[in-house]
Amino acid sequence: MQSHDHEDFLQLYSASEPTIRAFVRSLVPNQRDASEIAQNTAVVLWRRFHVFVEKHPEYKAAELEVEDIHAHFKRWAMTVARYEVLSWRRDKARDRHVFSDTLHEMLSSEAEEKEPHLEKLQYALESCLKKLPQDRRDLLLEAYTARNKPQELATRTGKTLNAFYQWMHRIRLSLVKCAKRTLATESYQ
Amino acid sequence: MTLEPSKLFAKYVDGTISPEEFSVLDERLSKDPNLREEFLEYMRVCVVIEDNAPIFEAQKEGLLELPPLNKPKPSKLIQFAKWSVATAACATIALTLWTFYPKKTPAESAITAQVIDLKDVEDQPFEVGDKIGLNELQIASGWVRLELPKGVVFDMYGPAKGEFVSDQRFRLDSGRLNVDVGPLGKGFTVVTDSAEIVDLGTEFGVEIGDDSEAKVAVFSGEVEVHSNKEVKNPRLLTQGEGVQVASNGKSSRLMSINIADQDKISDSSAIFADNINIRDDFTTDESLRYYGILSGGLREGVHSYTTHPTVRWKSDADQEFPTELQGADLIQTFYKDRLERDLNISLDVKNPSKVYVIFDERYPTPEWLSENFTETDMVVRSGPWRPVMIVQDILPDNQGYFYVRYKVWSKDLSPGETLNMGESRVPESEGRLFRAMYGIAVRENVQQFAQANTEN
Repeated sequence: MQSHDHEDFLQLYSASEPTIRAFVRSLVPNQRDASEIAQNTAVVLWRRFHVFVEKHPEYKAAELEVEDIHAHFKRWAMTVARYEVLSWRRDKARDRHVFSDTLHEMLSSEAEEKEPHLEKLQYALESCLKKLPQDRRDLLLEAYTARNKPQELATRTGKTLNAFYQWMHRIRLSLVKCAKRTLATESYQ
Repeated sequence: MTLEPSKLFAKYVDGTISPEEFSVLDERLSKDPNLREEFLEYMRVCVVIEDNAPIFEAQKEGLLELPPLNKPKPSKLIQFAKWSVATAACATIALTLWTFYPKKTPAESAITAQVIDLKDVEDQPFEVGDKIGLNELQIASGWVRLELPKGVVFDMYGPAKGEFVSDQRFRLDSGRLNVDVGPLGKGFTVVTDSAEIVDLGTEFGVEIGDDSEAKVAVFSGEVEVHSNKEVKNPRLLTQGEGVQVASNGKSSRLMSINIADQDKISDSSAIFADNINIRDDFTTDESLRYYGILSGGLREGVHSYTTHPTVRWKSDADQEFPTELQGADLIQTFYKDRLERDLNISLDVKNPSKVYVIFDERYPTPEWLSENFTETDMVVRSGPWRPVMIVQDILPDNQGYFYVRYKVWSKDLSPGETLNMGESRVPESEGRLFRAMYGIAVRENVQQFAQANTEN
């Protein structure tokens, strides 16, 4: 492999990484597993990058527009990620909440198909998260950091554990609502 | 009792779902495509929160000097060295004055923006979170961050003046601004007397200089610079590249830019002291990259290179970041320069200073370094690296990340003396080895620093 391939890979992968992570996260129940699968995907992509390059001679010959190259790479990366999730399912299906094969297949296809919409939504969600009042945003983010146990945060905020989970759910729903409103009203289309 | 579907989503992501509830969720999702779409959207919220949580945690622990999410990120601020002293003086004496002109006529001439953040603004007529209609924008001092239609994040630094011609076009008359256009605001254009800067999906900065020249630096993505003289032949700039377009339309490479933390903007002591002059021997035709100078900015977690999005300077494993380096002026180099043959970087300073070269510890030390610099006992790392060739002989840590270790070399430099630094690459005679590009840091008033440390 030529040294410039490594630079190219880095650029292509960096641009696709958020999509790959989000795609994987949609298909597995927890963040830790999603991170592990995304990392494995990165390793496979790197090992097989020469195959991608060979299959796209026009890429080597610099005949593709940069955006097209990224689109090709992203599609390939999502296919690889899909296989990595399947492999994870084979290993973990017995001891985790894993969706049925049929549902998994439907979600994978639809996540891939709806990625442009989901990407826009994600961007709007980032903006909506920033607009949350600081105390609520801090508490929400704190709940997602490794060192905090939900029970401790619930106690600290004077809520029962169940009420705390419901509070987080309401915030998540309000973020989705905010993002959809943003997409609809601020000419994101 | 059957829970509504979205509550099942919540239980699924919170890990509190029972086997029975999980079966119900699986069944409902399998039957209902609309519900699957809602589920995918709900999962995307989790991705956003999970992505932001580690940043929040690091901020809270002081690992990153990033302000909280609704405060400015440490975005780039162009403070070109020759203007810095003047800017500091202005910041000190200027009366803070904001003028958000009301709509001249109904909506067609004004755009709607949301105030995301402000700093050092007195008597402002609005608060963070307000939605305002505006066309002309003038700031005597301070800083404002606005969110424009299509998610464009617009930072303006006083003193500055300009006008929104439309929601996708801003005319900058004076001062500086940074624009983070995001994926949906592609095409956002900044117009100046000498050039038009058209965004192609990116983050970039523009500053109007003393002679009306436009200085443009790209922090990520790409922009096209159309100078008034070369309208049909725009210059494409990518991440880490910059040009200055003179009032006569001639453009040339921008050798370095000052990058400062937003937090320090009004702190005149933090304004770059115009001490460093760095350059290399690439011409405008050969390269448009700039060196990023982060005044007093060397510390744990700061970006190592102008062009690498993830790699940051870190302390050695289980060690503190070296005190002597902490707070030195950091010069961000170009990480691809590690491959350059016959690289020649020159540096001189206005005040007596100590220069540090942070050099990949693997493989032989080049002569330009060992003959002119003294090896210190300080060690730092850069990372996390992806599995690229630079880290081919390094084992990942227990998180799967790769870090490169560097030794730190130092040399005293007097005013009038020029320091030359050479290439980073390993000679071919040594085999096919990949070394990371070195970093450069400068500390002036070294004696004062040493004295203060002794007293402490």
